[in-house]
This record gives sequence, C-alpha cells and structure tokens, in this order.
Amino acid sequence: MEINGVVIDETFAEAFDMQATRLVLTAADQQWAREAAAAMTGFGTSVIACGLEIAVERELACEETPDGRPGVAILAFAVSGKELEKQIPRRAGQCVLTCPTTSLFAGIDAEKRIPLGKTLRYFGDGYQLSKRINGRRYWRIPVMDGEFVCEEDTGRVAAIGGGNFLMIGQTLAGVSQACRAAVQAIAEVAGVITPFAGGATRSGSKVGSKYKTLVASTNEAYCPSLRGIVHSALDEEEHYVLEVVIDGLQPAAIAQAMRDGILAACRVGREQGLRRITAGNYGGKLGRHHFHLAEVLR
Amino acid sequence: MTLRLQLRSAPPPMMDLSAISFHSLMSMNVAGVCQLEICPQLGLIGDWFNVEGTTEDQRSVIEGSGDWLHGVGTGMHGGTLIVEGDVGDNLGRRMLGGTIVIHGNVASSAGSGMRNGSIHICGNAGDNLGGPWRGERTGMRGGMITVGGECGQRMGHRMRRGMIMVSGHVASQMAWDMIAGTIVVGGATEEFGFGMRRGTIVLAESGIVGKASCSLREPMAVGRFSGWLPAGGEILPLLFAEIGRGWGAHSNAFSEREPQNCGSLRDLGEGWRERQWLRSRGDRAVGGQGEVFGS
Repeated sequence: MEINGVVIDETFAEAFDMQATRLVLTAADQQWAREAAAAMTGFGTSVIACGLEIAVERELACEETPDGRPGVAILAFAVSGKELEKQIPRRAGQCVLTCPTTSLFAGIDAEKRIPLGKTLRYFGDGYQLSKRINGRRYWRIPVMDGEFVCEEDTGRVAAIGGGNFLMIGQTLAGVSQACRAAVQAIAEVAGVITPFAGGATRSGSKVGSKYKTLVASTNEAYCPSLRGIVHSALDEEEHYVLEVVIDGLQPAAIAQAMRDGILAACRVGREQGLRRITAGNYGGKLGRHHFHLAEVLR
Repeated sequence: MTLRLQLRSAPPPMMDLSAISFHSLMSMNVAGVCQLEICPQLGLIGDWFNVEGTTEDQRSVIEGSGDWLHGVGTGMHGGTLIVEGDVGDNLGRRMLGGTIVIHGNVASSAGSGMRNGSIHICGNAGDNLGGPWRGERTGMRGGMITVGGECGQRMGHRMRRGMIMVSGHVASQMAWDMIAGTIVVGGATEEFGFGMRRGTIVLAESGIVGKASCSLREPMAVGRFSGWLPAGGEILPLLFAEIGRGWGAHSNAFSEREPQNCGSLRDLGEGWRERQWLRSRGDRAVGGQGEVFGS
C-alpha cells in the first residue's frame, strides 16, 4: 500500500490494556489552567519510569466546565488501578493544588474511583469544608488566593495504551514535519493522548535488555547508526525514524487517531523525504489489541 | 394514569397517614389501596377516600386534604405524590426518595429527618422545617425542600445535609446548631445561625452590600460571626447552579397554576453573577466554620 508515495507496511501496532482516568482542571483564566496542566502532565511520557502516561486531551471552553471557567481535560493512563491511585493524588497535590486559582473535577464517570479531594483535603488542616452538590462531593481547601475546590474523586476505566506508528524518512526535516502534522491531527480526536514530548519519541524500545535490571532498551533494528552491524529494519535510504505513541479510552479512538495521524503524515509526502510508515509490535504475543495499518486506513 | 385519593365526607379532627407508604401504593390496585389501614380508630383508606385510577405513571394525588392530615409521605422512597390542599405536621418525614408536591401550606416538621428526595411546597411552611423530631440528634440529612411562601421558626435546626430554599421570609432561630447543608432565603430572617458548625446560608436579598451594616436585624449575635468580607468565588458557580436546578424544579411544579409562587429565587441560578457577594463565618462561639453569603 502507498499513500502519496509513502509506503505503508503490512504490519500492526500492538497495544496493551491499561487503566485510565480523565480530570477536568479549571482556572480563572486559560493561562493558569494551561500552566497547572503543564505541571500536572510533566514527566508523564511512559509508564516505564514515570508511573503513568498523562497529557492534555484538549482545552475546554467555559461552557464545557463544571464551574463555567476555562479549563483543560487531562487523560492519564497507568498499568494498574493501584498505580493510578498512587500517582494522581500526588500530582494533583503538587501541581494543581499549588497553582493559583485552579479547581479540579472528575472528568469521567465510572464505578471504580481514583481519590482526589478525598486525600488532598487534609492539607486544609481542619479548615477544609465539604459540600455535596447534585450528588457529587466537593472539598474546599482554604489557600492563599481563596479556596481550592476539588472533587472528592474521579472515575477509573479500562483503556488501551501503546497504539503507535513509525515514520521513516530520508531527511530529518521531512520526518519532523510529518510527525508534527500527525500529532496535530491526532489532537483533534477525542479520548486519546500522545504522551511524549511534542507527541513523538525517537527512542522506540524493545522489551528487555542485555542488562538484567533494564525492562526496556533501544530498538536497534530501527537505529540508522547500527545499519550494517545488526539485523536492521531500515534500508540505505532510510536515515531517520520517529514514533508517535497513542493511548486511548477505546480501541476505536486509537484506530481513528492512527488513521488521522498517518494520513496527515503522508500528506507531507515522499518529496519532503518521508518514505515509509510502519508500526511497532512484539509479534502479537504481549498485547491483545492489534491495530493493522491496512485496516485502520481502510 | 394517576392514582387518586379523594376525601369522601367531612374529615375527622385528625388523621395520621404515617402508616401508609405511598411508594408501596405504586404496586397495588384500587381494591388493595382501599384495604390499607390508616389506624385502628379510623379504619381503612377506603372508609374515608374514594380511590380511583392506576399507578402506571408512578403518581398519586390526594384531594380534599387539610391541616388535619398528618404524616403524609412518611418514609416515601420513590414516585410522585401530589397533594391538593394544605397538610398538617410531619410531611415527608424520614423520606428517602421521590417527590412530594403540595398545592397549599404545611404545618410543622415537614421534611424532618429526611434523607433524600424532594418536597416542593407552594404556600407557607410551619415551624421546624427540615429539623429533628423530638429527641433526635439531627434534622434533615439529604434531599431538597423548596417553599414558595414563608417559613416558621427553627427552620433547618441541626440540619446535616441537603438543601432548603424559601422564597419569602423565615421566622427566627433558623439554622440553629446547623451541622452542614445549604439554606437559601429569598426574604428576611433574624436571630439565625446560633451554634452553627458548618453549612452554607445564602441570603439572596439581604441588602448587605453598600450599607454600613446589615439591613436585617443583627443577624447573628455580636462577635459570634466574622465581619462581612468579599466572598471567594470558587464554589459559587457550583452552589448557584444547584440553587438554579432546585428552584427550577419548584417552578416546574407550580408554574402553570400558581406562577406567583415561583418567587424571588427564580433568577438566582443565572443572575447571581451580576451581584456582589459577601461572606460572614461562624458561629465562633462553638468553633463553627459555617458561612453566610449575602449580596
């Protein structure tokens, strides 16, 4: 298969079951909301060492938020519910509670819950107030600019992490351009995030390592500098590879994101140096969700 | 179709319906409802009321009621009960769910000990609305009560959760020993909030802003509450959205027949942003962290 001169490999992306939550963060203006979200989602690129994969899903207009203020929706993914329960209150406490004017709300309804104000309330040292409104419980913690309003908890749902595709090209400029176009297109899809910096990663990894303590290490088959000394997946004209990793709430959202992302990347085309699109998998043995490139592009 | 209970003859001096659970009527036919015993002295429902209709829309209507009819909707936990006329004491006592609509006035202790559901009262309410019954530690513990008219003394006494909204004036001793919850008053009140530990009182028309002191009679004993300071806005959008929803339900219940009783709180859900809100905290004499919002 070829789109705009770019070869689409006959392969699939292998994705895994994860646990996810959505938070709605609001503030007096969009700038504070963005800054709090930047802190909250910092160091949240990969579960390999960050504990969770977390990023802004989209910005929210005033009429979309519970308190009528501008905000952002944040999606977070972890390998287990327990890990989410550990990471989310920690980040909420250090990054949102601390940021001027912010409030924090649940962004998803589910039976299983991740604590927010339930644990953060103790910062109020006895001056915290609880308010039950429309069946939801909010904590009000006195802080130096007024009150930090924080919902008791948020929902936790089963989700999928590790949807991906790789862009392979002749020039760095072309691959960068394709990558940015892809990430921009994926940003429009609801229910997905691309957790890496700028939505892309250059360090595609394989499972395990020659060093026993490492769970993941560089994927030498896609490292152009190792062509000729390892069994490489790249030919002589393929000098640069970037990967977009996608976490999503449903398989359909990931498939949609992969489709929109690949099509946007392919619009950059062979003339700009993009030659091939492929996807990362582990032979289909580790993850139960397989996204075949040909199927998502159909 | 709705189940109708119509008073057949002159009422007794007093009738206590607290033994009749109105949600259980929803699974009965007319003959079954007629066989329900009110009390040994008064006999059966069928002895006093003409019963007709069915319960497929989960609604029942009492016609011909008056202040002699007590304990209506006790322990109710579903469906809708509409009362055409006044009712006596203990309306919706220990209610757990559903909706009661009163096209008239209610006497004392309506919503006493209620945990959930809604009571919409078109007219006035008597004393101890949402308060505790004698010897009980707490009053209302959830749900919503709206009153289109005025309300008597000791409203929201020892209230623990839920919301009470009164369009008109409220007599003295409101929210004494309040534990938590929300009270909204459209008219004036006095001597309120003594012993208040937590909870929120919104005085929608208090006229505090722009005056040297509160236009109400000294609302709280001197020194027991803090001065009026600008209210932090963080919780207000959520709080007033709830007020708007609650009063919207009240207006829906009465807008066709009694539009005049949709009252002063109608525009608060949206219009609160146009006003300046101040807040006072207390009761400090008991280490309370309650809050009173005035505009």
